[in-house]
Amino acid sequence: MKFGIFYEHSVEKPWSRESELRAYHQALEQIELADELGFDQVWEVEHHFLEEYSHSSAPEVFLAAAAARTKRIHIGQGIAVALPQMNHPARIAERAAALDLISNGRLEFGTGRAATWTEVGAFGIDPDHTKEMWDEVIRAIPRMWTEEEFEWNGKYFKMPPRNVLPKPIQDPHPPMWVAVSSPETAVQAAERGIGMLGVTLGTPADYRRLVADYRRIIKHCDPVGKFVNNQVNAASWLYCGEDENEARAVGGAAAFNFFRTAAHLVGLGGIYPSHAYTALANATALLSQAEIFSLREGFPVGTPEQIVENLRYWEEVGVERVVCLINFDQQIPQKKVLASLERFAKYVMPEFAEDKASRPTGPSKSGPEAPPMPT
Amino acid sequence: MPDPGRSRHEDYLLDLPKERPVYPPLPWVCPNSTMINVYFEVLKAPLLDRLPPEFCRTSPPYCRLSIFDHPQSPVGPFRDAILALGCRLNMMPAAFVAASITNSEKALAAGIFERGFPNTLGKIEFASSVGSARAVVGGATGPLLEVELPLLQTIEPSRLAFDHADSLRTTADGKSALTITRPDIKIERAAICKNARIEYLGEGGETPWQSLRCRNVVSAQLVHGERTFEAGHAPG
Repeated sequence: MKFGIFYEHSVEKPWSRESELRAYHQALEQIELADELGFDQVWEVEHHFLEEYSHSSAPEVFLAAAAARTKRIHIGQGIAVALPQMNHPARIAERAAALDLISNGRLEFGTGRAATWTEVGAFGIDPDHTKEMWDEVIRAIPRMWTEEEFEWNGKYFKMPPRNVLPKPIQDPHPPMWVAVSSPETAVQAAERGIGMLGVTLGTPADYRRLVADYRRIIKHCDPVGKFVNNQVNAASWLYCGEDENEARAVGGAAAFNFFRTAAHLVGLGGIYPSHAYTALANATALLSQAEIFSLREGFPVGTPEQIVENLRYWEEVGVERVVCLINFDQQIPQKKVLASLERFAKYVMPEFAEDKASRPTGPSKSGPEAPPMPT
Repeated sequence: MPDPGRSRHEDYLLDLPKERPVYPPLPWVCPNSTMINVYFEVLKAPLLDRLPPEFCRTSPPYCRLSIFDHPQSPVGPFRDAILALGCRLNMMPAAFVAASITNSEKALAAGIFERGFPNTLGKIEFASSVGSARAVVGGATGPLLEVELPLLQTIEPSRLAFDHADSLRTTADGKSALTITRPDIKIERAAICKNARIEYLGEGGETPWQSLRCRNVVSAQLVHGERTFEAGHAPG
């Protein structure tokens, strides 16, 4: 199993001139350490206008800085919004290829279509067509990366013959992913031969059906890229504490605040009835988690021993990568975030090293009792 | 976030009539009802000014305007309209009724005493067909706003669902009580409109209808079905 971290760049009010500056630079320091410690991936979202929740509207810029400061960690666009009215497909391909060059071939290319009215409504995009738009764009981009005369005459964008430059260094191109928050999208990822990038902070049980469907269907896929990426990435929350109480108080509180902020976003499904958003939108889906007021089963928050136990559930479900939020709104002091990463690398990662990969996994399906949230 | 409302409960208190008017007991089943429903974005400040502190605004701030036409009911034909603020109550989706109007004395009485809305008498024009719909909501000072759904597209009724409505009802002892009314229309036919518009009429003054002006229509629906006009209940 491989481990990663991901960033929303949340910035809590009241804001000062330094609030966003601090969020970005603390994140870069964390990524540098994660690279040294052996974390496998760093991902950054693309969101627009989601005040406090995510100030991450230019992920390629941030990830370029991360790439320049690191040597091994994979650099993940999690995701690039593949809607022509928001990002022209050629610009997506260009920026991703540049990032692949800067990172010496460490790019993981995630795609998606946005899930909040705040974003889709701002760009005048018809929510009913975002799935079709995404589908068209992800078929075009691998060709832009690999063809010298790319030409496109699609439903949602058209281009005369052009050589889209630069080309990525990975041959034939970086691994492709799609953000998955519904069973339907898991199936669509599998059908297209691209990786399943779980973006809902769910439990292993939540992912079980998605992963099973994905694994079954991808065997017979028609890949949109030049190769099949059949990996599954789940999203969760990480805080490796000094002890159980500290982990609950610090990591659990920050996780709860993340859910609480997410609960106040307006998911598309909430106020715009659309066949294109049959599942609960990302933020809305979090509501069911927010009401629990406790850390969810499988959340790697706790002592190293508890985290190992929780991560075994993910292994059992068939997830081979878990990427985690490690702070929210800078509520956890930077020193503690870095210490959490160090403890995780020292005590948890070795338990999942490849030479231990064949060890039997036998946790009960119910999982450990979730520790209560601090009030 | 969360960003709580800053209105006071007192702002929503009403002068109740000394004697409760006579009206048929709730619930009232109203077959063949039609509802125009529009979600639209509004500015943050006027929404927070109208939202009680136990509720928090969403991002982006939005309102729900629902206008009902009931050709049949236990009190005869009547219409009502509500302007609800999209919000969260304990992190869960909610819609707080900031203003409401009806053209029926009996619906007004039942609304005031048992639901918290509708709580003002006014005039509502309503017209709908398979292809379009239009309504004009008016208060004591004349027409307030006009809603037009010029081009309707039929959709599966199962695609639509509506939240409960929350209000501050004035109790007999002159206090306010948070009251929740369940989603109340059984959808038989539904259509959406992608080019709905809201036009504001006349001088607005400070009524919520006009201070919470539409900045951007999100979505609009026309729904036909059986509405049950029922009493609200306390949360929980």
